[in-house]
Order: sequence, then C-alpha cells, then structure tokens
Amino acid sequence: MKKRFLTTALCAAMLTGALATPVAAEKMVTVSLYIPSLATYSEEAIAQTEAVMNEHLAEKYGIQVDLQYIEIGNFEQSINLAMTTDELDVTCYFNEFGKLANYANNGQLLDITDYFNNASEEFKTMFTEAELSASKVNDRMYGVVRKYQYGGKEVAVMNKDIVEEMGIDPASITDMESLGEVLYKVHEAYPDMWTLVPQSSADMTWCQSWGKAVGGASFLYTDSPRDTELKSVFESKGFQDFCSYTNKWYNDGLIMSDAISNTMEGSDLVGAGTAFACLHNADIDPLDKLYPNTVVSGDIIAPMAQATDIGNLQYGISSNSAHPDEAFKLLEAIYTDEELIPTLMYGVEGEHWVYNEDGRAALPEGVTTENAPYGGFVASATYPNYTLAPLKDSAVVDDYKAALDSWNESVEVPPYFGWSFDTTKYTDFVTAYANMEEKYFDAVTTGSIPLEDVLPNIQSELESIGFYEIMEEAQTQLDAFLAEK
Amino acid sequence: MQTSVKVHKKKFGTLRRYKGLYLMMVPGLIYLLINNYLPIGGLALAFKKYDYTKGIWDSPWNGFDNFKFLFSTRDAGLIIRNTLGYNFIFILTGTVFAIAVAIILNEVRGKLSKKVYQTFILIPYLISMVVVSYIVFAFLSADSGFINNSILDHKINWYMQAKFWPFILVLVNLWKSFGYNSIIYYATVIGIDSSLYEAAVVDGASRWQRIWHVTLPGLRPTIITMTLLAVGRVFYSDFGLFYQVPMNSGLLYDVTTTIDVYVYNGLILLNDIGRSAAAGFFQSICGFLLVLTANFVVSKIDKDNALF
Repeated sequence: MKKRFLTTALCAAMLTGALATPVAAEKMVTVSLYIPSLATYSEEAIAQTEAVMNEHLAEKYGIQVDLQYIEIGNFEQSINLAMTTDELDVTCYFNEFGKLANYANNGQLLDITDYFNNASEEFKTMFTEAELSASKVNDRMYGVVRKYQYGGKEVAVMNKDIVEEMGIDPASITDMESLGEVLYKVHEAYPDMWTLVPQSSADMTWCQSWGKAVGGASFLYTDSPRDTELKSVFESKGFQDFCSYTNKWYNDGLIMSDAISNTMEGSDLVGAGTAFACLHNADIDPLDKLYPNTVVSGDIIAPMAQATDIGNLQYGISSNSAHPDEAFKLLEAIYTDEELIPTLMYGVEGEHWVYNEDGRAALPEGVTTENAPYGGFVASATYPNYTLAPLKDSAVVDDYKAALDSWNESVEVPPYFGWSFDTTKYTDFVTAYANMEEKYFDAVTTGSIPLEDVLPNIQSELESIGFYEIMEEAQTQLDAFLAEK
Repeated sequence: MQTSVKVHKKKFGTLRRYKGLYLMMVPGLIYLLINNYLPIGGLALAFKKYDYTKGIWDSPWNGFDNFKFLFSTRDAGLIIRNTLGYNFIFILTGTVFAIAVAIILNEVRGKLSKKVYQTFILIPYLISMVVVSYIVFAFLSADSGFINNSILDHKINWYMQAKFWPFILVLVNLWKSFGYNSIIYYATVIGIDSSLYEAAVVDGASRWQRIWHVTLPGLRPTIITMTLLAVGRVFYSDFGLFYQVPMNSGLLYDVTTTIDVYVYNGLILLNDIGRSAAAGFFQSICGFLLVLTANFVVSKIDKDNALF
C-alpha cells in the first residue's frame, strides 16, 4: 500500500512538474538554425549557448532557437534531406555555381521577398545592391548573403627560410612570369624539393584569372572576369595561359608529380619546408600570419570577384518550415541583433570567450584553438554577420567593418554580375558537362598533361553534348542583359 | 471439414510450440518492413519532377525524363561497360579466391592459428574505403610511394596512367572483400558432414581428391546463392572504390567511371532527387532482371539449387 501510494505520488509530482513548465516557454515557437561547422563544438557548449540565446530571444522576439551544427563536408547533403521535412527552418547554404537557382527552382527555399520588404530598415539597408541581387532568382529574394568580404586576389605563399636565404624579394613576384623565374632559381638550388604544390587537393589555386560560373552556370566561362564573350573554360585565354605555365613547370620538375592525386594542403607543405611555394587566394587577412614560416608575394591577380563570389554563402528559410514568420524573425535577428550575434558566433561570454584588456574577444585562459569547446570562436567564416561581432585578439585590422568596406570597394566586379542563366531546361546537359569537366580540369591545371593535346577531344565531347548551342543561347541572353544594363 | 480443422490445430500448435522463435523473428520482420519494403513506394520519385514544397505524392509526373541523363553522354556505353565488367570480374575472382581461402582455413589444424588467420583476413573488410585509398596512395604515390621507391628503378605516375587501374582496382577489391566472403564459405565447409571425409579417407582419397569430390560439391549451393545475390548488384558499384581509391584522377576516368560515380559527379550540383531515384531504379531493375535470368538458367541445370 505504502509502495503504491509512493508511486502514485511520484507520478503525480512528475506530471505536475511537467505541467509546471513556464507557460510562456511552451507557447513559444522553436526555430531550428542549421550552420556548417568548421571547428569542433561540444554538445554541452551548444546547449549553454542555446540557453543564453533563448533567454534573449524569448524576451525580445518571443521565439526559441534550436542550433544545429553540421560538419561542413556533410552540410549540403544534410540540409537537402532536412528540407524534405519541416525540421529545418533557417539554414545556411552555399551558392557556388549558381546553386541558389536550384534551391529556388526545386522549391527548397522560401520566397522571402515580402518578408524582406516588411523588415526593419536596419536589416534592409544592411545589404548593397550587389548583395541583394546575389540572393535573387527571377527578381524574387530567396535568402540574404553573409556579411563578409567577397572576391579575392591571388598571391604565392612561399617558404620564409628559403626566401631569406636566397634573397628573394617577394614583392617582385607580380605575375606568373616573375613567379616562374623565382621557381626555377629555387629548383636549381633545391632540386629535390617540390617547388610548387597545389593550394589544396588537386586545386592549383582557388583564385582564377578567367571568368567562371557566368550567370551562375557551372559551364559558362570568359577569358577574364572583365570579358563578356562566353566560352568553354578549356577555350578561354586566361585558362590556356595558366595551363601552359603549369604544364611547362610540371615537365621541368617544378610541380610535384603527385599534384593530380595530392591530398595535402599546400600552405602546410610550404610552412614545413617540404615545398617552396603554392598559389593561394587572399583577402583582408594576411596569409603569413595565418601560416607560420611563410611569406607572401605581391599580387599575381589583383582583387576581383567571380560572378558567384558575392553571396557565395547565404542564409534562407526552408519552404517546408512550419513557422515561416518566426523563422524570418530569427533570420533578421542573426543579422542585426548586436547582443545575439556575439553569443551565436563565439558562445557564452565568460565561459567560451572573454574580453581582454584591449577590449577584444579572446579565448579564456587555458583554452586554446585546439580545445575550445565552442568552435565558432576558432572559425567564424560561416556565420551570417561578421561585422557585428567583437574583434578577435588575433585580428590584424582594428576596425573590421571599415576594412571590409574598403576591401569590397577595391574588388572588381564582373560586368555580367546580376545576370543569371536558367539551366533548368538543360539539366541532362549539366550532368554530362560536369562529368566531362571533371575528367580533364585537374589534369590540365596541374600541368600533368598539356591542354593542347586533349583540346581536340574536349571540343569533340563539348560538341556531342550540345555545349555550343547552349552557349549561343546563353550569349544571346547575356548580350540582351548587358544592352539593357 | 475435419481435416481442415486438424490442419488449423496443427498450425496453431506449431505456432504455440515455437512462439519464442517466432517472437525473436518479429524485430527482424519489422526492420525488413520499414527498411526494405515501405521505401519501395518512394520509387515513384523516379518518375516525378520532385518539388520540395509538394512532397513525393503531389509532385508532378514527368514520365521517363529523369532517366535520360544517364544516356545523355557519349560515354554511356563506357560507363555501363565499366560497371558490368568490373562486377563480373569481382564476382569471378572474389568467389574463386574466397573458396580457396575457406578450404585452406579448413585444412589448418591449430585452433589458435586458425583464429589468427581468420581475424587477419577479415580486417581489410572492416577498413573504410577512404582509409584504403590512402593505403593505396602510400604504395603508388609517384614521389614517395613504396613501389616507385623500393621496388622499381624508374618512376611510374600511377594516377596518370589508366592502363594499370583495372588491375589495381580488381586487386584492391579482392584484398578488401575476400576475408568476409571466405568466412561465409568456411562456415559451409565446416558444416559438411565429417563422415563423408572419413569415407573418402577409407576409400583412399588423397587430400586434393577429398577437396574436389567432397568439399566443392558441398559448397555448390552456397556458391550459387552467393553468386546469384552478387549478380543482382552488378549494376551497382562501390563508390569508394571507384572514386576515392583512384583519388578522382580525371586521367583515369575511362577505366574508373561507373554509374554511381557518373551520377555523383553529375548530380552534386543539382540537388535533383528525382534523377538520383531514377538512377537507383534503373540499377535495381536491371539487377533484378539479371537475377531472374541467372536463376532461370540455374533452375534449368540444377533445380534444387535455384533460389526460387
């Protein structure tokens, strides 16, 4: 009897305990936020951050957030799956090669044009015309771009010891020709060392002198981002020039033999003295601070943007979100709320990060970038608004917002920016083209084979999959766009 | 009438007698139902222009449009040749090698050494293909690979020469899979009635004769079942083997592109669930038809060993 009474009492306590949860919290809608992670996050750190964010969100917006961090390599696959359900509300997504158009045409992202038009002035005026245009498909808005620097310049990252020992002037390297002269000198002095290695995997560099992803289409290129005549990448002058250099360097033993199957980061090899140099994209942050024991050359390609560089990472709302109104509230908050953004990016102040005596954000004593429980402080590039977060102690600029504006102003934007080519009619072609490009691209950019040897084959393959007809159609549309502009 | 009641009683009696065993079967059945049968309805996706806002059932039908991309390349023949060719070689080499190892294992007398061998040959099966790709790279790297530096006196750029890769892929697949397959065959070998071996010894059969006349006939049903199951998957390929192991080197595409690799490369940009489903559907249907054909052939030769 006593046991039964106790059990009943316990059940009743549990039940009333559950019912005693604050009514306000129960009424509040929880909105999920999917962010790609570039560093490690412990579950405990995420829960602590969520709790602090939720306190603020409940008070100011009447909503709650559920933070979902997904490793960047699995991110796209995960959000594609989550978008088939109503589990996903607000998400980051990548817009490389015009993926925004796919998200919009597949019905994955919500058209937020009306929400945005009714949003706060602060939110609406935050974006430049170029940034707004980068998140639109057929004049409708499907997301907002990350507030971050866009575009890049190309430099060579070189081993500091060798540069100093051989008296190389890094500033004298301003193009592929001058880089080649230095590479040959180093190769003569260090014949067993890899003189030039890819930036990463088989990618010789992430910054290209030819125009790519024109109109958001993965297969449309130009000779340079300044040109407007559409071409196949293999027929563009910028690409052909690049490949003729790398092929000569490869044949002369300057480029690592394994370039096509490389698995290592170029900057790591250079810093460790295993290789002398790698080409590298650069922007505001100086690379020699990022990579120990390296120096950086002059600009091989001046700051410029490819068509999809502006807004290559964006945030939007899933079409299947069960709470689109609340989701937009959160979307606006993670771009504009100065109290919320530092917590979202760096975690809980005092626990995961602290202010140092210079008023900058730093890791607490005993916490390093290797063991930081909330990875946002270590790698913040995937968050929506970098400009409203406190400057990190490692930042090389004193005013990030000013540096960002100045950098973005210096970046040359291609004339075709804002034009998009609708590829929905050509999806079979896109599939065939992607396979064809995969077959040759790395082989010729690493210099492993001469482009001129395989060009006839490539052209014949392009012909057979109907590339030239589609390019002609795209050129007509682009010319009309430019004429109207 | 009485007979019918008797049969019912008998069935019910059997059910009651083995209720424990039937209960143990329930989780497996539920798993099969949820995991293998319910998703079959999703195959409708292969014939739909999938719209995320409408879901599977409300998305519009688009006939066979989703299948066209598989054949929109002039490499379609090459891709199908690679997929089928490798799979048939894998089945042949894998079966022969696994049987040989199973028989050798059966001949090992020491219990400890048998367990050690079994463990060692199973390890490659448990290693992820990404790790395998790095092991292969350690052997084949042009600059620092074991083969170029310790065996050959000249440098071969393995990842640039397609002619070597059919052999490398077959070898890697064999190394990775034979341990698992040989254990299945070994389980059959140890199940063969020992009196058959004893009778063969009494009749003066040598070791080879015992293998040839007792072990191999005993293995025949397992070989046929395993082969028929493998035939059902000949339109599939191990994505890791064909994509990761050759380090996705474009120069090897002619010998490494299979249906799965082509679908991956082509659809990674498009988020197109309909086309992915169509590719899977095509592979399954072709595999199913092949199994039916193979089973039909088997049933004509030896009815007892056919699957159905």
